[in-house]
Amino acid sequence: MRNEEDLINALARGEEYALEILFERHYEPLWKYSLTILRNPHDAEEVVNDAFFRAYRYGRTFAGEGSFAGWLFRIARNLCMDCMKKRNAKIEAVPDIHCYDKRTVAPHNQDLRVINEALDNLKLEYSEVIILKDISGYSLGEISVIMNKSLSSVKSLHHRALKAMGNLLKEQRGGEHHGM
Amino acid sequence: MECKQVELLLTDYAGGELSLEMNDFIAGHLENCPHCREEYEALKEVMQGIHRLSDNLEPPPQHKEILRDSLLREQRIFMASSPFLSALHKKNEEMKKRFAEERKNRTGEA
Repeated sequence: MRNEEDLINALARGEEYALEILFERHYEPLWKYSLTILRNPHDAEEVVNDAFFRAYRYGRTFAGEGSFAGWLFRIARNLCMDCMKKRNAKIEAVPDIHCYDKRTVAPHNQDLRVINEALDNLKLEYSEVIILKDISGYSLGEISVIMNKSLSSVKSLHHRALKAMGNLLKEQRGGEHHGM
Repeated sequence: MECKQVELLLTDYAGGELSLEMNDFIAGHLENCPHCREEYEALKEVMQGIHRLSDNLEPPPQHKEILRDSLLREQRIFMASSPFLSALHKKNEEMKKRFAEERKNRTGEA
């Protein structure tokens, strides 16, 4: 497998194969990341489009400084935050709108809805590391580059995130049980 | 190894990322430690739930193709607008063709 540094240098030279390989490698993980954060396929599409275009243009100029995945996900994260801020701005104007559109990405079964809600209630750093590792499928090493943290920090963060999610799921189930 | 240290390894154990020796050690510990076993079961449930969610997240089929084509188009426009890069790219393509022909001739001779 070609390493990213070679691919970025090839991208800077205008080699199409480099763009194709990087796109193929990161498209689906980025889609899953954006959709899980934003819960709206239309918004996720826009973020994925923008993130790839910006990372591609940035990559052309800054070959040799960082990883494509790192740029791509940092760009996507900022775009997701901007999107959520715009939605929150709408909330202030119309308080009964939810902060994300649950209708458009509401898993079709109760089990997945519960998982979705637990992810949503985690603090952002926790949900991010879970999304990157367990949904987008990146290794902890790759995630340490994307999140700009040491490998041991990411490992510990992932562990704490899963534990926090487990506690939330237990609480939700306890709540459902009492609701019966 | 204490339970606290074992707990930190449970994620790797669940993902099959430990060495054989460590894997066997953790498996043995879980057999004898109800607390760690409970932690492991809870962790496994969370990870399985997240993987089920992940399997349901499919991008729309045309989006990928349209985005890829747009990026390649941008690439070509950029290359065409930069005389230096265009010339470099052209030279690269000529060299690749020449090497491919030389390789073909060598295998033909062999």
